[in-house]
Amino acid sequence: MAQNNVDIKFLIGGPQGGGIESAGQIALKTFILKGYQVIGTREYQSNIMGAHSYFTIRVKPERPGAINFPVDAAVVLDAESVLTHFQDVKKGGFMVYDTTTLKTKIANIAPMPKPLKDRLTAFFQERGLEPTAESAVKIAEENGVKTIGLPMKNLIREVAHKTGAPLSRVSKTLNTIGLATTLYLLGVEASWIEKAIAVHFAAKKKVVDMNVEAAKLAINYVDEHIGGPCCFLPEGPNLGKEAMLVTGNEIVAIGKTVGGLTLQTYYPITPASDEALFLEGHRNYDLAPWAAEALELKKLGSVVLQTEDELSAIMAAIGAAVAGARSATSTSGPGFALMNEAISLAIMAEVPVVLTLWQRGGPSTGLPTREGQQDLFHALFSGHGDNPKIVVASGDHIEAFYDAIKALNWAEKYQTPVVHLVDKYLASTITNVYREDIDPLKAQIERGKLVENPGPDYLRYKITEDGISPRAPMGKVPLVWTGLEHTEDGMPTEDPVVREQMMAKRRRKFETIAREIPDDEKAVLHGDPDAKITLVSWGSTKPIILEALKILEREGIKANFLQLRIFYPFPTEKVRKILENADLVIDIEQNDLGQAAFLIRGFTGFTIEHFVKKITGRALWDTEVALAVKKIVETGEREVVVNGGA
Amino acid sequence: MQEARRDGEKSPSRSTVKMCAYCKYWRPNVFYPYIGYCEKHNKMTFDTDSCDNFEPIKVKPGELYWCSTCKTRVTGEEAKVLVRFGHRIHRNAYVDPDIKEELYSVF
Ligand SMILES: [Zn+2]
Repeated sequence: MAQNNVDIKFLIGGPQGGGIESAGQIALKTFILKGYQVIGTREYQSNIMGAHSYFTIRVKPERPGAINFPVDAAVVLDAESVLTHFQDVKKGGFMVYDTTTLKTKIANIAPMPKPLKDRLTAFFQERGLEPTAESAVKIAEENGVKTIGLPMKNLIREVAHKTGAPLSRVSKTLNTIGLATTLYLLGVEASWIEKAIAVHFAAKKKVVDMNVEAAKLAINYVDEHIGGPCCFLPEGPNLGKEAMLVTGNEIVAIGKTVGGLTLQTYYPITPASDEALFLEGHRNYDLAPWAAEALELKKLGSVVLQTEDELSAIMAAIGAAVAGARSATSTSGPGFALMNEAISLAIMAEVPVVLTLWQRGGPSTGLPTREGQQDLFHALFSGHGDNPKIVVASGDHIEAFYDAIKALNWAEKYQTPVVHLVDKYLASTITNVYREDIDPLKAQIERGKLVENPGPDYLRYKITEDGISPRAPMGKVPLVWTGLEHTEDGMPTEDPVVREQMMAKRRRKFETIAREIPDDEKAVLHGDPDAKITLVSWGSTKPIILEALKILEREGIKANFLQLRIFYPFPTEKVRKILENADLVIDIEQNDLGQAAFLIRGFTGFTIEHFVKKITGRALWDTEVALAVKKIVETGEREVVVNGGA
Repeated sequence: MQEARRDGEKSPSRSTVKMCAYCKYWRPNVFYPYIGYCEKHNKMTFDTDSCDNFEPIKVKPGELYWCSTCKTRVTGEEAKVLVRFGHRIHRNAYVDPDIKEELYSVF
C-alpha cells in the first residue's frame, strides 16, 4: 500500500476503567512514531466505572478530520463491547474478542442500557438466535467480518509464566494483547508496537517489559493460529518528527499558559475539569530549553483555584482580574448557568475575564459525557441587562490553542468577559500537534490600557472616544468597584445623564471591538468561494465538514463551508454577502433549534431554509454529513437528522 | 469454549469444586472475572486455581454480595436465587488500584 493511501479506522471498546484509555494511547503513539497523523475520540458514560466506553481512532498521512463507521477493525474484549459493536466493522474487516465472553447473555450485562438490550434481544429473536455475545460474533461473520477469538485467560497465564511477574501486574496487559493483535493484523510491525509501549510507560521499566512480552505473545499467537498480515504498512511521511499528543482540554490549557494566564478557577464538571486538572499538573512547569531561551523564562504555570461552586469560581476570577491577574474560569452548560449573574457584573464593572465553556448535551444535566452544541444562545445572551460580550467558537485543536490566547488578550484589551465556546467532542478528541502548529513565539500577550502607576487624578471609568478607559489594578490606587451604574470614578449613581453617557461608552467599546477584530477572524469561508452550495456551521464540526466537502466533491457536488468563528460582535456584512451568493444554504449544527441559523437571521435578515442536525450526543461523522447534504441537494428536503454511532 | 471445558468449568458443583471462584477469600476483577484477588494469600489468581485454604462462600440474607456473571452488587436473597441459574457469587469484587489512570473525570 502506498503511504498516501493509508486511511485506517479502528475502535477499542471495553468497560470504563478496564484499560481502554491506555490501549487507545498506545495505539495513537504507535502510528505517530510510524510517521502518521491521528485522531482518537472517546465515547464514555457518565457512570464513571464499568459501563461501556470506546475509543475510535483514525490514521492518515495528513491529520484526519473526522471519524466514521464502519471501521476496519474492532477490539472488543468484553461481552457488552462485542454486542455494541458487532455491526460497526466493515465487510473484509476484523473483530478481535475474548473467547471467555461468548456465552454471556444480554440480560446479564448489568451496565448495558435497557433500551439497547431490548433492541438487541429483538434483533436476535427475529433471526432465531440466542441473545448472547456468541450470536453477535456469528452475525459479524455472516456480514463478511473476520472474527478473531483470543483465549485471553490462557494468554495471560502465558505472560505470567514467561515474565515471572505476579498476576496482579500481568492482568493489566490484557488490553495490550488485544491491541497488539489488532495493530499487527493492520500491518504494523512488532518493533513499532514495542516502541510505543516503551514511550507510553516511559519510566516504568518492569511495566514496559511485561507489556512488550504480552505484545510479542499476541503476535506469535496471530502468526501461529490466524496468519499474519498480508503486508506491512509503509512508514508515514512524518517519520522521526517530534509530536505532542493532546486532547482539546489540554490544548486549551496549554494555550492559556502560553497566553500568560495567571489564575484559573473552576468547580469540577464534565467535560471541563480536565482542562483545569492539566493546568494544576503544570502549575510550575519547566520549559524545554529552546522555549526557555526564546521566551527568556525558565518556568511557566498559573495558580489554579478549585472553589466551592461555579458562582464562587467566576467571582474569584473576577476578583483576581480586578487585582490585576490575567484570569479565566472553565465550566460547562450547567455551571455556566450558575455564573450568569456574575457575567453581568463583569460587563457592568468592565472586568477582563475569560469563560471557557465546554458544551455538552443538555438541557439541564442532560448527557454529561456526550457531545452537544446547545449553548450558543446561552453564551451570547448570558447575563442580564444589555449584556454584550465577546463570544468566540473554536473549530479544532489548533484554533482552540490560539483562541485561548486571543481570548485572554481581548478580555484585557477590551475589559470585558470573553466566552470561549468549545465542546465535549473537542475536549475528548486526541490528536498530534507539531511544534509549528502551536508556536508560542507567535503568541503576543496584550494587556491593553493597563496603568501600572495611576496618578491622583486617575478615573477608572473615564469616558473615552473608543469606550475603553485606562485600567489600574486594585491596590495601586483607591478604587471603587461596583455592579451599580457609576460615575467616571466608580461611585454609584442613578443620575440620568451619567447613565446615558456610561451606556454609550460601553456601546462604543463594542464598536471598537467590532472594528479592531478583523472579519477574517470572525467568519471563514472554506473552499471555492464561487460554489453555489454553502454549508454553515461553527465549533468542532469544522474538520468534519471539511472532510465532508471532499466526499461531496467526489460525488460531483461542489460546496463551500462558512465557518462562524465570532458570534459577537457578529460579522454581519461578510456573512450576508456570502449567503446571498449561494443558491442553496444548509445549516449544520449539533443542537435542535438551529441556534446559529437563528442568530444569522437576527443579525443579517437572511433566512436559512435547510438543516442537518445531530442530537444524539455522539460525534458527528463526515460521511453522514455528506449523505445528508446530498439528500437535501437531490430532494430539496428541509431537514435531515443524522444519528450514527453507539 | 474448549478453554472452559479444559478448566473443568462445565456444570461445576460448587460444594465439590474447590476452586478460587467459589472460595470466600477470592474477589474477582470487576471487569475480567476470570482473574481475581485472594485475600488469604494476598495475591492474584485465576478463577480455576485452587489451594488448601479453600473455604466455600456462605450466602446469608441481609448481606451484600458481588455477582460476577452480572457484574453487579446483589443482596444475599438475590444471590441465593442467582446461584441456581449458574451465576457466580462472591463476597466482593476487586478493583485495580491503578484504575484512576484509566478513568476520565465525570461530574
Ligand atoms: Zn448474576
